[in-house]
Amino acid sequence: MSAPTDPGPTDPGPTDPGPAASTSSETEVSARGAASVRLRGVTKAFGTNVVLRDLDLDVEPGERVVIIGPSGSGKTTILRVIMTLERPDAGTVRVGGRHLYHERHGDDLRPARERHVREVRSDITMVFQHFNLFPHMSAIENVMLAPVKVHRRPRSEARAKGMELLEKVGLAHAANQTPGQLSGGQKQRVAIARSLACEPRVMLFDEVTSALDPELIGEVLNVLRDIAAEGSTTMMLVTHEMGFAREVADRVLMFDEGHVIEAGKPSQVLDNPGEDRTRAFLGAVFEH
Amino acid sequence: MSAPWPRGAVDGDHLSYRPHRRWFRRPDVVVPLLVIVAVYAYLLLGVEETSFFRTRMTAKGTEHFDWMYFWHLVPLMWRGLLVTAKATVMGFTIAATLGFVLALGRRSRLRILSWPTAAAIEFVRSTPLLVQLFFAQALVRSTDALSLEPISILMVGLGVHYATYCSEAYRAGIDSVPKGQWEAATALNLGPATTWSRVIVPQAVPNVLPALGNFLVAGFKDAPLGFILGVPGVLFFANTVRGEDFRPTEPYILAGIGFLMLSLPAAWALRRLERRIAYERTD
Amino acid sequence: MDGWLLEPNQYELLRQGTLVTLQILAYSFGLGVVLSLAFGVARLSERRWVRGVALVYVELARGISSIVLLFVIAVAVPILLDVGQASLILLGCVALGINMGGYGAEIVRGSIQAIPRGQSEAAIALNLSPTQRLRHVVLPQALRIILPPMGNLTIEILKGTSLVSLIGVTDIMQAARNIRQQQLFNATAADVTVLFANILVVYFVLAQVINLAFRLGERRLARRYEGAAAELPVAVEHAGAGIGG
Repeated sequence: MSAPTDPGPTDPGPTDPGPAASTSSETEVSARGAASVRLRGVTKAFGTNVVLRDLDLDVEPGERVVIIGPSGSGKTTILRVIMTLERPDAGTVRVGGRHLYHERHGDDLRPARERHVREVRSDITMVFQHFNLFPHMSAIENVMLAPVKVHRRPRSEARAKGMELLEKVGLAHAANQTPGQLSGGQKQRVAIARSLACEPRVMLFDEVTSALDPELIGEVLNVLRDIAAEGSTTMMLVTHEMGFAREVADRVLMFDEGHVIEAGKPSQVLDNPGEDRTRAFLGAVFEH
Repeated sequence: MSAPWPRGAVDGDHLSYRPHRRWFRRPDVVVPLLVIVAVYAYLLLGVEETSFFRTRMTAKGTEHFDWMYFWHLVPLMWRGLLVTAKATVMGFTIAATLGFVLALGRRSRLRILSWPTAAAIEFVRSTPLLVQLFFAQALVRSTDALSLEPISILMVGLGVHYATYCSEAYRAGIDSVPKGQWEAATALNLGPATTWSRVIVPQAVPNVLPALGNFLVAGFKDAPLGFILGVPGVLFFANTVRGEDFRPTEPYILAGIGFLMLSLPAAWALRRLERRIAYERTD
Repeated sequence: MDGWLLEPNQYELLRQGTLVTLQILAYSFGLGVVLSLAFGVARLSERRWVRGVALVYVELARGISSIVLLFVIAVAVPILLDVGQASLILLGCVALGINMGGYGAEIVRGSIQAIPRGQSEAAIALNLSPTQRLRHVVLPQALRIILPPMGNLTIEILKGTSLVSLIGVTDIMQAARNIRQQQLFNATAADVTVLFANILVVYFVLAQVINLAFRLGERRLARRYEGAAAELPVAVEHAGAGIGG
């Protein structure tokens, strides 16, 4: 994983708020604690396949953004770049006003040390399509791991908080069961509780219902609705659940070939798409 | 099974479809095979065991490591190494054949055959080769009927010890052939000889070869133990030189280096062979 | 040959030798495990030079013959490095440990690679440090896969301990030699055969005990959590052949 190339003398561009603005908390962190996410000029290629090309993206604190698009369009890659699972080849990512991959030295931006990345990353968390629960731990242990090891909370406090979160997702009764004993929907809900335990300011959801049997999707969407209603984190979701998007999203972004080709309110993008490509995609999705 | 399947994956990027040919008509199988046979013949016939490892110069007593002396020892070490290699190859031949027999015995449906075989395999596998060699030597000495050269005892010892490993490899290989193949052979009324030689073994072999190769290299690493029997291998060389010249460092380190120079390339060649075979099985 | 048993006092000597053997096994195993973990993880490091060093170690440790390594470490190295003759047992354990580490490292590496990538990604998403990721997420799961081949490897090390008798340590083999010395004049070759047959049995029993211990360990781990274990590549399962001697 190579560090992103150092932005040249022409960067950061005119859109980058100067030092003063990046430390002010009004535009970058909401009252409830949610953080903004801002991408500038992000490029990511896998071999010769350029998945993200000079991408600019702004997500306001507390906003709920849904990203749709065909596979291979790069929508998952954006989330993975924000989560530091992939390093961008160029460009900057800012979370809550702080650069994720760079550090400020006076007026310069330099590639960040690992410590800095970890620090900024502590505000971000992600829920995966295939859950990725730790099979050798029970549900409550899965939820407790990060608070105890990363945030250094005492075990009793972490356990109490963890049970609270499991209660919230409706799985307090399964706290001592291992993932192997849970259904897909239950696993995903535990995964969400696990992510919530980190008290994140940005939550990323990568097609979290795509691997579930149809009848189990609803319970997960309910949890997502609750999180959205609370408004204490920024949410970015990649999903095919258009009904959910219409209900919860503040903004819908249509992705294709590494670019946002259409963005707007759900009613706009989903019901009255301006672009042909969007219309074609939605048509294919709604076919079945 | 007669449809051509990609065999061209072996040579580079393009997948060329070649018609299926029996193995003895394929150059990429025959050539390595000839090389192996040539090496085998050389080791069997061309290497003589001499017990004389006489050095013709003395090392400087004051230094810990004398380079001139070191280089001087190389031809002697090489002679010992060849003897060790010879014992390995011969022993492995025994191991490969005996292993097959043991595998069949182990798989037999007759309890009276499979059980003792399994017990014997387990016993030999769990006990050190060193002890087995001493045991064999004592056994040979205790009867007047048998009189074996040290190198023969080593070969038999290696052979029996590694036969147990090889038998496991054969078993795994045979078991890896899908049940359906056996059933098809029955459905076509093929006799046991045909079933084994034309259906089972050709499919089992690609799985077995890498494991066998591993055991060959492993056997090479155990063969130096022959010195306890008096076999003039690479450790016998080191011990003799140390005993005569009172210089332990150079001979042992040289033995180590010489050993690595044979075993490492062998291991690498083996891994390449594994990859080739894995490549070819594109089902 | 009359009777396959030995005299009681000879069994006593064997017993003492067995204790030494077990001691050597324990120390070598300890060193071997540490090296296996260290180099197994190092093989997967992000830094190229770490990977390179680990690869060199693994290739050398696996490519060398155990007995040759033993002689080099016990005899040549002390003189080369100008240290006095340290305890022979220590040197023997170091040699065996180094040897085991090479094979063990490959087992560890293979098992870590068998853990689905999603697990470490989830750990990253929770902002665990790389060390925490290894300790709490990856290694516990890898342990299940490591145990079976590690059990085989341990038996190979047990067989390897017999080699230390050749550098002068009084383990079972050396005890046997001592018995032979005692028997020198009255011993027939048949007696010697009986002696070694007994020793084979001792090793066999020890090997089965080790086997049992690892099986129990595997079963306890399996009970801890459900779910299919990932498969270990075949090459790693054959790791260890050639140490034993």
